[in-house]
Amino acid sequence: MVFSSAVAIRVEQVRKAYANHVAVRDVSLRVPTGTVYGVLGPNGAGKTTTIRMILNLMVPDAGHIEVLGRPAGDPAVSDRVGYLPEERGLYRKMEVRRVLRFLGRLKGLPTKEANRRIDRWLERVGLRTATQDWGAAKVEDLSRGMQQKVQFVGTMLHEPDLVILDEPFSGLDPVNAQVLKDTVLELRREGRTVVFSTHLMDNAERMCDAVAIISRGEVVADGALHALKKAYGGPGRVVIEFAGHGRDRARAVLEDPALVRAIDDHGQRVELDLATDASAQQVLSALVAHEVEIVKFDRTDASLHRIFLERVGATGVEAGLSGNG
Amino acid sequence: MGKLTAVMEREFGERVRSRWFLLTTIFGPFLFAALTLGPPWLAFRTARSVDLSAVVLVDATGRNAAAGVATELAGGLMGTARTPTVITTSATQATRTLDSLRREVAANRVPGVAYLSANAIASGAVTVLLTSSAPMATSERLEQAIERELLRQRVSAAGLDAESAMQLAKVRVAMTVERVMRDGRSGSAQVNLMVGAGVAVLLYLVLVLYGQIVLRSVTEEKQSRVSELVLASVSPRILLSGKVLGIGGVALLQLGFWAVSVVALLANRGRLLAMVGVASSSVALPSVSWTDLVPLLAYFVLGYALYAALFAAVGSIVSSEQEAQQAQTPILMLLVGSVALLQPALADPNGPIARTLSLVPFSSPIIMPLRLGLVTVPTAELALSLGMLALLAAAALIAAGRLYRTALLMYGKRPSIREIVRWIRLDG
Repeated sequence: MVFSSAVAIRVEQVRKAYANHVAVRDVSLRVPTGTVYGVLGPNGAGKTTTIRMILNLMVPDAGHIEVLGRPAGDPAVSDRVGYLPEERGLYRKMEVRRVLRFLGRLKGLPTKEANRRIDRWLERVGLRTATQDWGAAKVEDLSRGMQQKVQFVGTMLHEPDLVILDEPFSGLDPVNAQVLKDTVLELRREGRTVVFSTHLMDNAERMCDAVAIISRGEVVADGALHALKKAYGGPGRVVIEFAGHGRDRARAVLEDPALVRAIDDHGQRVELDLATDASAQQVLSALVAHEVEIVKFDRTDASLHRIFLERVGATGVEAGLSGNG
Repeated sequence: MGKLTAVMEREFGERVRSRWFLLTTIFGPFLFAALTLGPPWLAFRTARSVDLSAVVLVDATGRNAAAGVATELAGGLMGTARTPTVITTSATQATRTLDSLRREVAANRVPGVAYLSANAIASGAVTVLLTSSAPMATSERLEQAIERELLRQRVSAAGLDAESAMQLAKVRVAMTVERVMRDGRSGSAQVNLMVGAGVAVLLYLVLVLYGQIVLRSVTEEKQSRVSELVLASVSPRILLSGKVLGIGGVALLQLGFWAVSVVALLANRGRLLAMVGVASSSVALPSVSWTDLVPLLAYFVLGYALYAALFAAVGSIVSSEQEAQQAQTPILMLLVGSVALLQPALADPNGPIARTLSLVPFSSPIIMPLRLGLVTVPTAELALSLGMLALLAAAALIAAGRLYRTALLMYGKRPSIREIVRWIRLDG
């Protein structure tokens, strides 16, 4: 059953302090149901603490958290949530199939059904073939990559409505990273909600529908990815390639501060940061007016990476900014 | 409930399936069997191993007494077909014969010589020559054989029926000492003492052993970071309860197996020894009824719960197994202290030391069962002791459960006592 409400996770004004520092201060988030949501931030920003509070592994000092429409920690909710912690571990001495059955049972999965799904999943991730069944091996006899697969299967076995992955790409080999990406996208197709934290912007940009950027325990920007780019990315970036004498004729346009803020010059190819009030259309019109020969004119969005660097760098200056959205 | 069962089953199943469990469970009764059956069998083996069939018997009695002795020495369950050589001689010839035989013994060609003098039957005067390396048991067995033969000779000389007289001469006092308690119960004093001390030491061993297993189980889970995964699915209280119950089940299974095999072994001790040809007196088991076992079981269960909670708490605050070894010392001290005071408690089971220790919850699971085996403990005292133990165990379990949530996700520096108290107060 897929949760039908519009918001999968609602975090309201949550705060958590450790002995000598505040890990999370007044964080508010809203994760829409059926989306892939990225929690971005540098190491130590408070991502893991926020996730742990959502999972009721930690109790917030203040604030309120709702998961799938119920207060965090409601036993009825935990069975519908799958979690892959950043520090991943398994019982080393246990047989793979037993570990998975145990994890399934902790989520209320009956043994018989668990067994059926375990076989299917082990086949799917390549741990069970016609010639070899790693399900009967002990965890400690598996390679690191295989253990990652087992951990991953353990997270998905009970077919959760909400999947929370803490730094899921850290330490993954390229093959497993691809398996993870495919699965996340499949989960979205099925209408499930996926939340993952990362400090790798590439993955977030390619996979997420919405993100929250957290820095020093605060949300500095959040919302749908396209909206964020619009709000924080500035007017954008243009890549132009010239032909013939185009480069010389374009000089006046490229040096106009009303249109161009910065230029990355490669001769026949330039990359422009547009001035605050300028648009790509204005630049193009000006170039046409100067009869510049152009072979390529490409407008690109500001990358998430840039927004991230800007927002995280800005926290000191704009302390108190709440990215409530 | 299903989740608690899942945690319990994992703890129980994984441990019972381990090689360690199989070894210790089977090894226990073997050790006990070795201790109870070993000594009599060894003593018997030593006695049998002395080969007396090569001994030379010199007979000057004129009544052919040596022939009877020879039969006696050759016989027996594992006896060889060989019979000792008998040389019949006269009193006058005897000295010469003995002199030559002494040389044979000195040269180690003959293991021993027994000379029954002319008036041996009347006076019992017998001379025995043995090689210097002859085992102690040799002369004993020779003496027994000769004694029986001389008795037979005297009986038949007196004109009595030899067989019935021999039967009459066999008197063995089988003394059983019973100590009668106030409530009319009785039991063999020595056996009671042994059983009481045995139960106390066993409880101590089980508490230490299984407390350590709980400790290791928690540390492993924390160190391997599985705990975070598990705690996302079950509450810390359920994880802790499942662990304590599951491991407790393993302890009960092992103890049960040991108890059954020990009782079976003791009950069949005589038969088992007889199978290898050793005669033995039976051991009178103390009369233990089911009502005696109930408080014993209660002390075991509550004592285990208390110490398991304490060990689990230690396991949750440390980050490595080495650290755990250090941090558990205060708890081990509580247990070792109880056993260290076993001696004074045994000496005076109703004295102030024993009574105090049987009330204090940290030592009562060890000392009270000991007292129960030796004296009659007033019901009120028993109830008070059990009640206090139950309260403390419950408090320890609740505190450990609360500590669990915070401590299991904390790595690095071990928390101070103040932090621990703060974590326990944080209500989950």
